[in-house]
Amino acid sequence: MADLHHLLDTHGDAIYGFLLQITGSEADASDVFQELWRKLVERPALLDDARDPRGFLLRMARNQFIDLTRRRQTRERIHAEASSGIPLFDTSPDPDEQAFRDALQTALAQLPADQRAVLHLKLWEGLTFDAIATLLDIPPNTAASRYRYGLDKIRDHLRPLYNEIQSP
Amino acid sequence: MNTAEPSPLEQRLTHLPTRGLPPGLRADCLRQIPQPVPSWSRRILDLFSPNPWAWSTLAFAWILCAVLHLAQPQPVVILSARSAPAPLQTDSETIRLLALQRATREELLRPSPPPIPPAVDRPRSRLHSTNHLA
Repeated sequence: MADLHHLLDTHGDAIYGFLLQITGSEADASDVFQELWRKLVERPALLDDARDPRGFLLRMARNQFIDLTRRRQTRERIHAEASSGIPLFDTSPDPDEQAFRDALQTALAQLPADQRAVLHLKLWEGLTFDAIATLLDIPPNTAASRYRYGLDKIRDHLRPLYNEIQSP
Repeated sequence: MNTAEPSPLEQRLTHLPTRGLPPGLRADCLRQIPQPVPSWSRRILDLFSPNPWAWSTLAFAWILCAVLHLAQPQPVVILSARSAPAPLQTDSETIRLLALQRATREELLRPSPPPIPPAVDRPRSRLHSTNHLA
């Protein structure tokens, strides 16, 4: 049986970050996380057979997010909320760094949720395209192309700052 | 598919710290975790956990008893009609004693014949002497 305290300490931040990315809303991310957590508390043995608990939880989070969108019967609403942009990253005391993070958040908010999910899993979870494909139920080539498209859009959006990054 | 070197932008993005769980949400989740009910084994563990020497001594004593018990030779008895004379002897002896007891009781209950008077040389009667004289 899984130790729920250990589970929350080890994977809680990553799951919540992923939910923030794909829901684009703090309220939705919290709702989905609490629903996921309720399931784990009721059935801690869910993770007993999971070879990769992080991947299993990310998949659960994504499925929970899909259930949320089905309950609302519209995915556009969540996209619209996401376009407003929410803080996805910790704040930085460095003004330049904070400006970069704000611009990145705005760029991410303009991406479709599918591309945001792939970007998040690739960049901040360090998953391979094969793992991302398994997690999101898509072919690996689709995961790779979504990542490439999303990264290109972010690069275009951050062009001025990106040039500053490359210059030193 | 992942063999390409990450670009400088990817490298920078990778190191950005994403936001973690809000403290309120974390506290809510922790509150939902049910407190385990201590079982008798948990109580024993709690009792011995502050004293590891007592725990190890108890374990050693337990193992020693088990080894001594297993090392003690146990008589092997194969039961068969031929190799189990003791119960048979006991049964036959009981039957014999019962028969003896019954015979004794019957002997005691049987009416005894009248006693045979002992042969005593009594003096002949006077008539006999008279006849003898006649």
